Amino acid sequence: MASRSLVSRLIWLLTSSMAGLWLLGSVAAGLLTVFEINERLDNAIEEVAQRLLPATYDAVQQPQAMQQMARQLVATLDPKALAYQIIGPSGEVAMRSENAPEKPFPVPRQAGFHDTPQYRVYAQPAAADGYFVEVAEPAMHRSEALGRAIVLTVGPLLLFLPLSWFLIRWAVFRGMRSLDHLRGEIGRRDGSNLAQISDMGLPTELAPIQIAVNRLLERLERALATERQFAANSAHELRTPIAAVLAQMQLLSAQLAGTQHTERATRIVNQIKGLSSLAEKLLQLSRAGAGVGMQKERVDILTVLQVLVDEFRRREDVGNRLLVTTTCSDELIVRGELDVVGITLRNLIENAVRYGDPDEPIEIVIEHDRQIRLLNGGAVIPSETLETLKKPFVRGSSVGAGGGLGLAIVDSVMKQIGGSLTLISPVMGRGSGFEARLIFPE
Amino acid sequence: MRVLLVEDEPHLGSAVQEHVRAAGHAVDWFERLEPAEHAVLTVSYDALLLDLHLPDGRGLDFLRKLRRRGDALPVVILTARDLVSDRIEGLKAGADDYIVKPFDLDEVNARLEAVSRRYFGKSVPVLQVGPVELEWEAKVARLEGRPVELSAREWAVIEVLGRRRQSTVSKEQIEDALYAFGEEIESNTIEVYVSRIRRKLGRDFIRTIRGLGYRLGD
Repeated sequence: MASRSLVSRLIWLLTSSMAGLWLLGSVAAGLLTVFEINERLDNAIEEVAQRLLPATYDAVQQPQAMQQMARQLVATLDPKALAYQIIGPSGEVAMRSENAPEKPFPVPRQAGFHDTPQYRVYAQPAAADGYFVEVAEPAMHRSEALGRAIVLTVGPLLLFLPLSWFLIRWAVFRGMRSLDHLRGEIGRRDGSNLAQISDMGLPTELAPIQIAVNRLLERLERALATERQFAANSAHELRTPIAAVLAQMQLLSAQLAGTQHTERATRIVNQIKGLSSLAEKLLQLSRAGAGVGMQKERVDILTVLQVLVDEFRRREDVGNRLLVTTTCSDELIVRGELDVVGITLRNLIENAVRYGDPDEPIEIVIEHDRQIRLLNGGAVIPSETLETLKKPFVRGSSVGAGGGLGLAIVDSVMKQIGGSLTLISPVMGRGSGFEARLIFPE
Repeated sequence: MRVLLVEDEPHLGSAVQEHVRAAGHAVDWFERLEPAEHAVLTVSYDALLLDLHLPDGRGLDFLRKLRRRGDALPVVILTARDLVSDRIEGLKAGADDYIVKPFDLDEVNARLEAVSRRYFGKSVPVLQVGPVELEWEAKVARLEGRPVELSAREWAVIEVLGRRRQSTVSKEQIEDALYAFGEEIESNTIEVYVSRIRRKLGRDFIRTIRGLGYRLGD
């Protein structure tokens, strides 16, 4: 399942929570506004009715004069909106405003408010017996007033919603900056970088994470140092007794030369050599794994190659067969550990010596673009076999006493330092041979 | 050639001693640095085979001390440490070569002779002494083009004389180069070897400088 970003989750939660709250607030404000407006308007109608009451008697006696007065009263309050009727005891309209209908409002003759589709009517019994004062407000006027009030109350809130989304977004990004820095620092820690995270002035919620990560890095570094020490000590503790056994066995083999035991003695010598080679490769694998990331020194690959080439050329089975050509300047620097780079290059050369055609040269070509190509002669290796050669305990050929770990070690180291190992066969431009190409990171 | 071997692993030390000795060289073997330091001050060695981890110290410190004294003794390090940094440290300390354990015993002899050649000017692969032709690397001697079979000791005597081609070498110097501490030497051993060599390669191949010693002919 794809994980969602914490930032977008926070923005979504905050925005939706705030929008929900605003919606609730708006509904409450709208309801309150409606209630208040209804109350005010009803009060206004009642007030008009109350003012008309004392005049009801006069209206009966002097209908013309009172008609004029009532007209003025209504005009003072809200002449456009309100209409009134004074209803006589038999239900006839005794007096009415000009905007009132000629027929009585279709409401019961009871005190209080009554609603019709067109009006909201307030009926008030008059001082004269049997008379009613009825003041009506057009329903359309009230709904318009309510609509305007709601728009004025809720409208601004709707306008501010997108603005608040931007503000929340800005605040979340700003608030998450510390977490981003911490995440970036942790992200930069890998096999080749186990340095402690320096103090970044993190907030109290994040500081414990930084402390915990630093503790973890320290423990990891100690564990790797121990492993490295173990590998180095094991090298000594294992190689010396193996060397003693091999040397004694070689003497015995020489003494048994020409007897029936010669073959067996030779076989034992070869087995000791195979055991020695396997132990060495396992130690190298452990050393390479523990060494990468422990130190970040500037290593000149050309210097390492020079030492190794000098060493290999002294071997009888190599000698001047090992050729070096370079198009590079006088140094090729990588960040890593000298011995890990040494193990990598040594394994490649050993691989070429072990599996390459002994009658053909082994070429090391140092390219200017941080590439080192190691070419040796030999039959073409099928592409399906090439793909498996980087796996541990896979040998390129049944010939040779290799443990099948050399290229696995090289591949592991190159991946950890951010480079790559490519295996090619046949060598480009030739019909045979094998090429191992190392590409080192900038 | 007289070789000083410093190696604390007894089975390895004894095997190396036996194998190098079988090639005609004298080998003094010590398991600790202290007696080796005494030996190097009292005997003129032709090569040193040095282990790095010894019970009473580090081989590299011993090597640095030698070089600080100006001793140019050819040194081959025998070590279980195969890392490039170890190798660089060894070479910086003044080692001439570096053999990583476990190794082929023949490799030890080959390396010893290679460093010895570099030191004693035997970079000329073939030396002509009158009708005798000496091929150092292959250890082959030819008299007027015909190969002559020599024992390891006989070849070792020739090597000692060839190494000091321009000077006279005393009988004691030859004995020192051929025999390790504690080895039994008859008083006329060197004369016997010289006599055998002369029989095989001609009387004039080795000249006797009366009262001083021997040197190669010409």
